[in-house]
Amino acid sequence: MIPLLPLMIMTWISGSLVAFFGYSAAPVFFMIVSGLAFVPYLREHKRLSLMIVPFIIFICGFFYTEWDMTRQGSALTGQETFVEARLDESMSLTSSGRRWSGVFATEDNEKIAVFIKADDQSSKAPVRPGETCRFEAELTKPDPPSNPYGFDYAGYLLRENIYWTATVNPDTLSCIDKNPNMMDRLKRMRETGIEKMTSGKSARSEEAAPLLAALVFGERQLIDEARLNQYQALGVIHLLAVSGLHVAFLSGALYYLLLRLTLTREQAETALLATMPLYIVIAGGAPSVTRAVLTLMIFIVFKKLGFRIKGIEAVSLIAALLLLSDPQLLLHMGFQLSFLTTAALLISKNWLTDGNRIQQLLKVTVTAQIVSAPVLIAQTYELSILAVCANAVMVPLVTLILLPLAFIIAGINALFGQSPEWLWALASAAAKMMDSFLEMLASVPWHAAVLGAPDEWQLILWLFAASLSLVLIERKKYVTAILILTTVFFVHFFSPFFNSDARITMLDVGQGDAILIELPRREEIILIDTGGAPVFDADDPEKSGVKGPGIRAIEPFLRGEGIRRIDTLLLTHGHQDHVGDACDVSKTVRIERVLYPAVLPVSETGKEALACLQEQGVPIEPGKYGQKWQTGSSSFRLLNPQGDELEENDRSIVMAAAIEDVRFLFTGDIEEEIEQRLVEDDEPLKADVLKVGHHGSLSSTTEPFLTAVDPSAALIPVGEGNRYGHPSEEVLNRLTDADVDIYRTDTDGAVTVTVKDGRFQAETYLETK
Amino acid sequence: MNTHCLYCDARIEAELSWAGLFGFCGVQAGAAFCADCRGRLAPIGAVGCTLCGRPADAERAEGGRCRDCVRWERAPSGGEKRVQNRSLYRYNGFMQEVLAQYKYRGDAALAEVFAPELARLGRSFARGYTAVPVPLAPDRLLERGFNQAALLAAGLRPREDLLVRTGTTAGKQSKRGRNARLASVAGCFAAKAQAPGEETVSWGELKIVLVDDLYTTGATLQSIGEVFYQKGVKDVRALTLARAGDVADIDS
Repeated sequence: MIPLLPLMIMTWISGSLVAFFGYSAAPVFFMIVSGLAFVPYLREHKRLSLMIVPFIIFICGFFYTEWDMTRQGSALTGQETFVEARLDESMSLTSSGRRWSGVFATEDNEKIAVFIKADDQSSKAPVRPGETCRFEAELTKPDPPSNPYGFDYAGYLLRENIYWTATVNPDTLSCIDKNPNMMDRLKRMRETGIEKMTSGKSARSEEAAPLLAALVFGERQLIDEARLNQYQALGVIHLLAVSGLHVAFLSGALYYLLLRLTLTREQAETALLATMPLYIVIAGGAPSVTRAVLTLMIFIVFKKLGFRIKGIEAVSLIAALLLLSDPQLLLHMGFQLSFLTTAALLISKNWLTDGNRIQQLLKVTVTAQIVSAPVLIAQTYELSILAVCANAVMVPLVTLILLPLAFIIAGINALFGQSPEWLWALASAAAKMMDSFLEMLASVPWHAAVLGAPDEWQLILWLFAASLSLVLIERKKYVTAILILTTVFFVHFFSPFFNSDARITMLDVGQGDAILIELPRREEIILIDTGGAPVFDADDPEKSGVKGPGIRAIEPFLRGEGIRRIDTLLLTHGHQDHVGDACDVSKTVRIERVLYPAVLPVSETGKEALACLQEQGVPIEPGKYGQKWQTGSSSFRLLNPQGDELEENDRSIVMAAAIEDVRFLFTGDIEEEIEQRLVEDDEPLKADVLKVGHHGSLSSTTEPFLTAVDPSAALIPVGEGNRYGHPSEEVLNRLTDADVDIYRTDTDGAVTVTVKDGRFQAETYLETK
Repeated sequence: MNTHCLYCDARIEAELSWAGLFGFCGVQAGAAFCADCRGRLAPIGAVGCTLCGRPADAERAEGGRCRDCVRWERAPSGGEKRVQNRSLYRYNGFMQEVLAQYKYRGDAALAEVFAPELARLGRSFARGYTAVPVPLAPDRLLERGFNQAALLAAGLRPREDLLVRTGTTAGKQSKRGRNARLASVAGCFAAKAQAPGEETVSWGELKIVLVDDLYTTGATLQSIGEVFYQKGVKDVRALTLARAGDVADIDS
């Protein structure tokens, strides 16, 4: 039986979930489970009318969340040019290393995400927490994501109750430090602590410093993004979240130390009660550390009052308190995982405590993996396969070696300014071990399985499988549990192969092309071009070192669609906005072959991309006029190049595709001359959907060509506010006059054409402006 | 639901479990022991003697029979058919205390814990058998206020009308040695062919499972068995709460 308090809070949470997501899989599942957990109470008291209690709590959870949502809104108009605000959280460098970002709060306590250009000479943040600044800035609303499965920055800010971003002109920034409060001082201590750990003379190991900063201060930004992805894919990212482990270690050490200093147990507990909350701020205030510290405090308080409280009651009480203060926390993946796994481990306690240390560690990992699988699959679209293995090695390495070292080094840094060399040497050795172990596991093919965004029914299967297998494991029916989980895994894994629709998606990669063709039943996956940062952007120091616009759109899309292999990468021609991110794509997903225009000499940009692809072991085939292939009921013909073209744009591979009776024409960047040749050569050009040449430039889509193709829909991949003025007004007019529906990435975001039963339908990702 | 242990009266904490979360279990049926007391009971897993139900690890048996049973079968006085017995728990120190509280201190409610368990064992070991609790002598019943065997058999739809106690063993069995026990029970029980207001029992169609609290030498149960066998009953078995007879059990 589940005690009443956690049950009520579960019911409250299901009400809140329904308020956020409506009656979809997860909320309904949560609702049913909390209903079921009441059943024993009903059987005990034999009064159905008792059901009114959970019902009322559910309603309260729902309306509290609804009310909280209506409470939000911005007091700013966006017209403000001068802003006066106080820095709320420490500023941190963005991943490009060129800008500082931080959250400021205005006088009315409205939060704004602020960016300040970094000064090359100094690694010190321009503003410290608690300082009040005046600056000139233009307020902008963050854009919603324009590609499916793309990172929703606007949504992320919204969950933090932030409605505006501002880029500050550093010359106008003036700050004063008027009486910082206790919180500000703590945040500054954190800032100094991180600085001492990671930069300047006191940081003596490049490998260990970012890791130690994550362990003590919950600061992940300094860890390489690729490395973070490895942690995520191997299911060990939780080690970087300051949580129960860290809090238990710190408070245990402190308690022992205080007892040694001849304090009584009661005094030591009071001391912990007074100091541990400070650590929430020092560790960055993530939900996991808040949960852990508050749990500890609740236990101490209840002990002092002479009450006993069960773990599950304490944890659910904290969840309730946090959700009352901010219901939106429920949308935070860290919150979900932290509370779900803690509750799961408490429920599985009897099973977990059985066996030796190693068995226990494995059992903890298995339980945590199972309970977090539906959450992770729903939000990251992949499942870590080697998680149990990775945890078995890394949990002891972190808890026994790195965590103590991290706290000791941070402590010595705070007291004496810097830590001795040998401590750093130890930490460095341990960090190197971690890194090489991560590298080793990450190089194993299938260390993580990309499953794709689950449909509603798939999510229900996962929720069901996870619950059932936990019950079975509790009853020691391991084989059945494994059978159920693997069945659901394979059902999810193979479901795309049963989809009889074809999907052609033009992704929004700014000024550039990237079009993904998924044939029915995954018969063939073709990616036409990869996008890439325009050359003038690559020179811009602010954008160097940041992932290109192509890979930023393509990688999440492949992951969301559950695509694990590209059969054909068609690179139309060697320009940056078409092949720029080819190298990065080949590093994310297996590519079977690359088609590249068979015209010499290959452009410099093209050479670069091809060299990288070759290094990855991707076979490169020349593509030219006359080639054709058939896959299932779809056929493909190449109409260009013929091999004598001089202009790079004119060398573009032109592909005519007939997908389940719907005809497409993909034209790369061809211009007038080639269009004319295609028309004159009497090629069958008729197509239902035309990918307009050269981003809608005036040089392409000529009248005769358009007449020959006679499309009913046109796709234009084009960057918003591009410097070339694409697409040209005249081309748009020609298309409109020919009665063609126009879809363009700058206003529509990604555009998906679905082919079903010989007909097609286009859908834009953004609501058309 | 009882929220306190029937034996030690400690509060029973609701156990967290996944099954409980999904509502398929949770309330223990009626009465319960706390986890501590439950842990001190020693369930008999595998039997070492297929006849008397002695625990597997007690002593090495010949052909599935323990030495006691072999001895019994070889003895000239031994009956032709034996009563096969199964017990739920070993008669360890804790069980001794539980039975003392149950029988001698009159804590009849303890039967509520074990009756369902015996019923469950009965359904697998003696399906289709008629349950007959070992009767008490009338004066003992008066003194105790309840028949401990009848309460334990509650879940098996017991028939107390088939067997009567005709003689009394002077004093308690628990105070006798092995041979004295065997001698003392002879001729103490008689089968009743007809209960008032019911039709005559046709013994030949009947299979009987005797229910008692404790199996020590099996003397009582065996002598009752013989009574029934003589009437023509096809098979007589026995279900008992505890199985004594191993010194090791008493010590633990």
